[in-house]
Amino acid sequence: MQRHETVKLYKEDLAKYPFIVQAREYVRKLNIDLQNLQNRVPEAISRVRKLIENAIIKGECDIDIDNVDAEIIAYPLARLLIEIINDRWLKQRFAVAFSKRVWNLLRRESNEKIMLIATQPGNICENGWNLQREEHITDNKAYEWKLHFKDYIRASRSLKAPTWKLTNRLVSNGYVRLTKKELVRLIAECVKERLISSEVPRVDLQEIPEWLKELIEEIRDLMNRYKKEVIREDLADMRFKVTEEAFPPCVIRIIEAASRGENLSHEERLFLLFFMLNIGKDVEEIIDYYRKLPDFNEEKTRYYILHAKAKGYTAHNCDTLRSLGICTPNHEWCVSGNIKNPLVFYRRMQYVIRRRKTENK
Amino acid sequence: MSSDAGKQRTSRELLFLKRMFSSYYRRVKIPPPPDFKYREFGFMLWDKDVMVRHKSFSDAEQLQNFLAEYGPKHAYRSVAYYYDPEASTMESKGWIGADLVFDVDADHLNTPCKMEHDFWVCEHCGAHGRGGKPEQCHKCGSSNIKEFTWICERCLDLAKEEIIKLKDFLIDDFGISPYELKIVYSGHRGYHLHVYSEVVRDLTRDERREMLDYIKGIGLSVSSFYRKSSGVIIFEREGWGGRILKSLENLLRDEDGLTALKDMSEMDRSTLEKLRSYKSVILRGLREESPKIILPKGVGEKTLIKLLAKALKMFEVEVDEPVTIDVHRIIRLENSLHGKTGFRVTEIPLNYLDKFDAFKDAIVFRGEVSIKFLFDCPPLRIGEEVFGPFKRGQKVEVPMALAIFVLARGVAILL
Ligand SMILES: [Zn+2]
Ligand SMILES: [Zn+2]
Repeated sequence: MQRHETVKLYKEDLAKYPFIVQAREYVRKLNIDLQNLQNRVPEAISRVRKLIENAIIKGECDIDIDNVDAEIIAYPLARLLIEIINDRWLKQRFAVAFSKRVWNLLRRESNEKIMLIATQPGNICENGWNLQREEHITDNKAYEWKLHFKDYIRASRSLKAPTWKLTNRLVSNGYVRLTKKELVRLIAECVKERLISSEVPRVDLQEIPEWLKELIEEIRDLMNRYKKEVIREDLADMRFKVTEEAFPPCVIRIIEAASRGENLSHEERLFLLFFMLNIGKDVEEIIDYYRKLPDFNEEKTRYYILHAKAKGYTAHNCDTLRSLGICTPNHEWCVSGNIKNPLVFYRRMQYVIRRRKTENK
Repeated sequence: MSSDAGKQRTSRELLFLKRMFSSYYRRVKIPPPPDFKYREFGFMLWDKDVMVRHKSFSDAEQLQNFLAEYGPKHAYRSVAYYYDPEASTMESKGWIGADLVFDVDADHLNTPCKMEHDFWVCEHCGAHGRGGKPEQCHKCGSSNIKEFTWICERCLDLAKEEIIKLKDFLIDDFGISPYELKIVYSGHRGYHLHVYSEVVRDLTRDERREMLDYIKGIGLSVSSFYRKSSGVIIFEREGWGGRILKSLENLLRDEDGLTALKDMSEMDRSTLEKLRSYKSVILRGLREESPKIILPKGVGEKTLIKLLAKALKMFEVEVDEPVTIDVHRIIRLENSLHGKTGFRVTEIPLNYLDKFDAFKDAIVFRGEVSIKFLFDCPPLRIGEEVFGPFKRGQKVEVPMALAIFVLARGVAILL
């Protein structure tokens, strides 16, 4: 496409955005395969180790452009490793961490470069986005972009906050207005979704070189150790097992999503936190609910909980939950409209359960 | 549900209807829908209440011959395109894509006139009443009750208003070209809108639902469209923002609006008075380049937001959700006849939509025939003339189109 000709991509760009077509092409031209990698670009091996280690331990991906080739190669290599290790938690965690890196780098880029990355087929989606530059600066916001509604719906699918709902966007003539910040967020979302859903070509495990086998074992060990000692999925599972009968359906839905390791939205995380604090759960107990989230970081989670506790927030009202898209009204009490806050549901249900138990005795 | 095969309607009437339908299909050329070779067709015949599905046609003549031979009671075709439309399961058909369709039906609208023209009859004891059928007969307690619905101008006009709002959403917001839109009168109490565009063809169920949520205003939060800055509320003009401003303008413009405002919100007299005396300031603000709402002292942002949320109801479109999200749906074949009315499923050019008159433009039968009414029936207009109301037992010569309408509904028999 013509409009791309004005932007030049440097090797450093390929290192920053190794998922784009030019990066794949670059790797292909280097003529590197698993057999000759150790001799040709040995730094790529230590680089991929670091990349995945960071994702596991910090829930973040760093970038190192001192050795550009190593950085570019590390990406497909990381995907291959993760595919072989075949652990859902790791795949999600890496995807979330890497997409955060993309977000961080991309928001500092020129509009031309963002345009190129988003519209070129095969980068963030098969056909590339139908995206236009158009400034619309109102007293409210500085919109600089317009994305076709179809691409918008697809890219925002996993974003559950009401501000992302199409209904609440400026939509006209087939396009949805976006600020630069929002656009970059959506691109990062697409990168994440592609990392989670698309397949990496399989390799014959018999054929892989010794260094790779060792690396796989090393990472698997680290992951298992980290999961066991820090993530403590066992604590989470124990917590999930004792899901209380009296929890309202909205809380149950979020807990179930958390127990499956889904990436809860910011609003869902906060609501769960406030609710648990309000019913008197202690901080360590509440942390357990977040352990399986793909970007779980114990320190950060504890900080948020302590902060909320200090501020003494109350759980959202049902009205608010409804507008946040969190309300899950599949109990008759919710439908009746008599319950105004999930805490009321909880206390009333506790009472009913207690009475039922004494009656049965 | 209403069923057509009344006890009193004999095979004589069914045979007559079938012949009349066949004669229409022999007489009138039915242009098949776009890319019809990739579509599944389905039919209801007159003699049994089962759908003949998984049919396909390789040329227009084949379709025409089928219609002429069977004179089907209902004719449908898929919104989807398939590699093998005749395959008997959805999996084996090979889904290629589907047009985006919307269904607006007066059955789902809350029209007050239904009390005047819809009625029910107890099949057990013969008791009857107006409006929708009760759960149980109030006389004998039987639940075997038959419902008769009518078509009326008011119901159809309301449905048309909905379809116009829908069309505006698709063109103004979603950027669909008017050339890619087709509006079709369903032959009964509603309208269909088809979007034939490469852009929408591969949308999934969830993606279609997201569009529908937009059109129905589901999840709308008014606060997404404004920002407050030193007591002034500054609005966006695009998307639902424009509709929010428009609804406020409508409410403030005249006394009718202000009365409506009072009725729909539990607004006290003093708030209303404040708005009334301040309305020219507010209206001026709304028309500025960057629209602003300046509220009088004592009227809060919360009051306004509550009010707007209610006022917006008039922009939401009542569309039947399952039809739009079902990518395997079959929908009425354009230019076929509706088996409950004998009215033609009529394509309406966009520039004719305002003038479209189902009681004239969807009528295909000419001539007269004598019939006997089995129930009291509301009046019906055919062309320019209104016929009826009719009394139970009345024998009368009526226009063929009216006769077919009442025979098809099972409320009359041939003489
Ligand atoms: Zn009865
Ligand atoms: Zn009516």
